[in-house]
Amino acid sequence: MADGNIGLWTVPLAVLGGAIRVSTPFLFVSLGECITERAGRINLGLEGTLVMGAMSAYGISYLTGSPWLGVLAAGLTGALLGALHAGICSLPRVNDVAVGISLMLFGTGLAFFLGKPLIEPTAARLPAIDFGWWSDVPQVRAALRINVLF
Amino acid sequence: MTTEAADPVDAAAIAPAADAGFLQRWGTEIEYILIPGAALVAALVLFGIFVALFGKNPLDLYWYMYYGAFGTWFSWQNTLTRAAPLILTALCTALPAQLGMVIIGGEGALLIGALAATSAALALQGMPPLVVQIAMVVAGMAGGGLWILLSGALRQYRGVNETISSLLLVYIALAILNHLVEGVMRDPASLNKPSTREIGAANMIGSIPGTDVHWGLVFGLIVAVAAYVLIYHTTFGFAARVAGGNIRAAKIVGLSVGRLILTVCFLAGACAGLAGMVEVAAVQGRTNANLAVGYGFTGILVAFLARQNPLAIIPVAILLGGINASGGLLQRRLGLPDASVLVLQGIIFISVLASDALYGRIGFLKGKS
Repeated sequence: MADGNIGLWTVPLAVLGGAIRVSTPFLFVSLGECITERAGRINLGLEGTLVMGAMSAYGISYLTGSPWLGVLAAGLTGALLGALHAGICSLPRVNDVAVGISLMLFGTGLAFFLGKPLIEPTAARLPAIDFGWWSDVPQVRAALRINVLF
Repeated sequence: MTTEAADPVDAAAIAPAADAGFLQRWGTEIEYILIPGAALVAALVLFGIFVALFGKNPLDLYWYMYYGAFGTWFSWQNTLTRAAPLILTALCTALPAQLGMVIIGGEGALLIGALAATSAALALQGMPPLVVQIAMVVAGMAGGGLWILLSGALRQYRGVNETISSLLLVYIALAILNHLVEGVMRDPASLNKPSTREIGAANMIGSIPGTDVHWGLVFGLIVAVAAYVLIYHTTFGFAARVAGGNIRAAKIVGLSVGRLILTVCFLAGACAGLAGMVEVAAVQGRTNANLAVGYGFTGILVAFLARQNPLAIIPVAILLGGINASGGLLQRRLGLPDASVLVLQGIIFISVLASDALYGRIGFLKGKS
């Protein structure tokens, strides 16, 4: 333990960290859908919103160097897409489910469109975001490389 | 109008009134063409502005889109090949829409149909090609039909929202396909791209003579016309439209709405399953993850753009097939990412849906008299 070797504890720790890490998107997306359905509408475009948010977060944090600004950008992008959905649905006789699918196409397409220049030059640029800064033990860092928002 | 033309003096005297009558009679039909058309143009203009923001010339864009979709015989063939599955998957949304149901699971039915058709072909290896092909059609349609029937049954017996359930079934279908293709049905020879065994060159359905367009297009046209006849010229279709218009009235007059829902869902899924069979038997020759390229989702767009009319689906599917076909040219000539086609589709879809708000609100089409 003294030299940072935590032995068999790595396994449960990695499972726990992995579970938390993987569950984060589900948590946020279902939270968003819950809020939308409180308003009596179904937004099926959340897939597009999620991908668009991921792209804008990556882009902004790469360009500014600050992951937190990326989080802010992702939130703003999601809010804009949500507002677009709500705005279109508030027109008379517009089907909210169908608008959701169209926003799914639109959001995914836009994210790939705008995100392409960001990922084209690879390798050298990627390590810019690192959330495992708070621990000294390498295994813990690797296992708990969770996005800090959780 | 012909009787009025017979008497020119009278016709001239009552011309304004006759004109209003013309609009009263045809105003709705004109609306059905004018509004989606205007929405399409608006979407193209929006996309042009979007592209102009990235320093590309929108006029070049429109020219390349036209050239890549309808400019040459080669691009026409490419367009028609892509339109074939779109017609079939669009019917998967358009048929239940007559009952007021929004089914968006065409992609799932397509995948299951492809899987069923491939299984049938692999089980019947060695039989005459015609037998194998008929078995593939039957298996594909049954597979896809049962898949959407699940959504219909959930809605009928459990009150589950059919839109959500059909969407979620897409992901289940994809998971089943991946599981089988990477597991028991995997061809050991397919190393870096897990696939099933090939159905065999003799069993492929081939091209229409003189073209590169496969017979799937003919399948699509026949099924679309059959769906049109079914909906607008049979008692079954009439019953479905009555139930779609007012479900309580339909129950009061004694229609068995449950059976209607289940039958229509089965037929809808069968169309998308046929699309999967066509993709296997005419394009891929085997089943793998290449099948999930979004024909099912573009089909939803086609159905909404065609206002759920099976005959209108044919030109709209060709138009959307053309937009898909021009994607490669946009990528090569203008340096746009291939996702630009997806962006354009999204913009078209949004603007067409938003234009639903305009029906009955355009003053000059009301034909005031």
